[in-house]
Amino acid sequence: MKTKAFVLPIAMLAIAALAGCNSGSSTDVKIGILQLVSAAPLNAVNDNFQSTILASDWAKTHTPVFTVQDPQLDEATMATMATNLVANSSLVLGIATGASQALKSAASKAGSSIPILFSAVTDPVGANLVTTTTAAPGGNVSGCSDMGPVDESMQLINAHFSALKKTVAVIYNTGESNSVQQITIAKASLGDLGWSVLDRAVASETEITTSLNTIPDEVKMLYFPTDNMCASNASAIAKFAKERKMFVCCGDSSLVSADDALFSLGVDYASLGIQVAKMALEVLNGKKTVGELPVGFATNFPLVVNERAAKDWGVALPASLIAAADEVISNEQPTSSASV
Amino acid sequence: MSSQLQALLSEPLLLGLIWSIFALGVFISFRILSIADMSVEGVFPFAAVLAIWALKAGWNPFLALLLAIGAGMAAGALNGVMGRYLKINPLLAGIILMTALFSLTVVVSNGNISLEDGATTLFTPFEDLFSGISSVYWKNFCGDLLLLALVTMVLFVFVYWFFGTEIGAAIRASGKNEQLARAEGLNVHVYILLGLAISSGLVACAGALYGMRQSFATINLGKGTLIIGLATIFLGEIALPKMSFKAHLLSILIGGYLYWLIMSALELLPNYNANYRYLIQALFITLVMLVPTFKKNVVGLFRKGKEVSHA
Repeated sequence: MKTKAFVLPIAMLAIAALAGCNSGSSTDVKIGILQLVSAAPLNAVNDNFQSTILASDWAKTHTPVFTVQDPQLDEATMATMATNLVANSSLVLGIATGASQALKSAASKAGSSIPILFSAVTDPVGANLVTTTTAAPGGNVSGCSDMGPVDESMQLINAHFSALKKTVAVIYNTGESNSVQQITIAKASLGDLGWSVLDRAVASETEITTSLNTIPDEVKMLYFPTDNMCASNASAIAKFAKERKMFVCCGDSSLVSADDALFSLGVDYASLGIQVAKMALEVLNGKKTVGELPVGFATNFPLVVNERAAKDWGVALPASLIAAADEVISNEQPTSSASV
Repeated sequence: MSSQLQALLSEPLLLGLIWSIFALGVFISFRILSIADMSVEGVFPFAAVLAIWALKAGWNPFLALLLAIGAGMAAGALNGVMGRYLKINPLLAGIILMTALFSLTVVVSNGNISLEDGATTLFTPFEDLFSGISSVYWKNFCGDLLLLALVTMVLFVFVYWFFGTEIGAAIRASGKNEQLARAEGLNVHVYILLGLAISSGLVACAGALYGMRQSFATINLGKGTLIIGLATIFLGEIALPKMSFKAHLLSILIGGYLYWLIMSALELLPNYNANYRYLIQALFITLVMLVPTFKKNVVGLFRKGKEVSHA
């Protein structure tokens, strides 16, 4: 019995030692990525971040080694992931607010000045990641915000859907500060434009369907912001909208390309990934420190309209909206070439 | 020592201490009261956001900790009222409470609550004690370790002492054999309620310390915490097969360190996929729970000829 008690810790230490020894060649540069959850927009950031770095000139002389950790929203485990990534990398990227905060917290505990970049964070000041977004933040944290053009989206709805009964239903997760902030903006601008808002806030995934079902039939416009819970349940929202013949506008254009929403004047997460990769390259090339890089904002807000899904759902998109679109997804185009 | 190995060996020690306080709470409800109390998944994040909220509102860090513990104890007492007086199935009562606390957590935190850089927490004065150490990593490590070791020691000694008193013994009796306890003239309802309040108070203490240490908390913090607590208890029981109440409490501390050492080591394995983590945890706990049955039925078969079976 006595000996048995020692077997387990020793085995664990052996694994630990093994893991500690797998260092690679000298040109290897370890880049740690902590992604809060697998969701289409966050995956787009991750994929484009990695591919941009791999395609850069810097990668010709260095070998980037990416370590991606995904706690699947489990914050308790996220802390150890963040600690490990900070200890083992030359640069870390946090994708979404919680992941970025975990990295910052781990680095500050370790007294490490490792460059930390964040992405897909709507309000980096509110999340205490940086103190300013208007100037160089100083310190070792900077990145890109995914704050979308919410006000402009509402004006778009007002301009092209004036025939509707002037009500927009909004669905979002009250547990995501980024969503709450966007909905506050949406409500203010819709109020100014003379629309009423039907608030269908949810606190968990299971509520989405029941909450949607309480929307009266006469409401034909549904909006959801860049919300991680809505994004991962977008196909369920689309199914409901199809049954109800509703228009769905969302904050994230990749969901429009996936046939889960009809139009979006929103953040292109792929270019957000590229944008943050460019910041990372500035640091990796030694041109600038993270603290010298001001927080970037998404600047590219293409209006993406999905005619194919609209036909499938049996709703007619206004011709004026299609005419205004930067990108129209229609039957003639295969899906793969639709997303740019 | 490489920073990788350094983080791998030191961080689980701190996390292990915080989570052993959590596991001590789970131990009281699960092992002493024989209740699988789901409400800990609501109490833990609620205590974390409440403590951060209080710090942001300018409270003294110690008062913030007490506030969180008080809220946790109130939740535990409410759990007892639901289970004992309102006759709701204890498992269901815990789930209902967990769900209700989720909403309160969202209300207090708005989803994500964080402290400003350099904000004073309970850890700050302890970290400052070691300002002579040039490495920030070790300065913070020593400070955090001192605070957590102190808190853990106080709580574990308290639990050891308390469950040896007359009231504590009555709680143990009420949890182990309700009929007998009732026959002895004990008010079982009150003792179970008290036990649950202490259990949730400990869970809340762990939540508040966890929140303060990482200086932010989100509403996802509670997810999967009960299983961490159970795994900690079971790991401890393997490492230190129980003999006495004292040894059992000690084993929780060992379990806490082992759990986070294993988790940190797993994450460092190449190609480790976090999607499987809950499955690994579930398999592990099932296996550990099967050990006694396995010993009795399989090992017993081979020994039959040599010694008299006590089964």
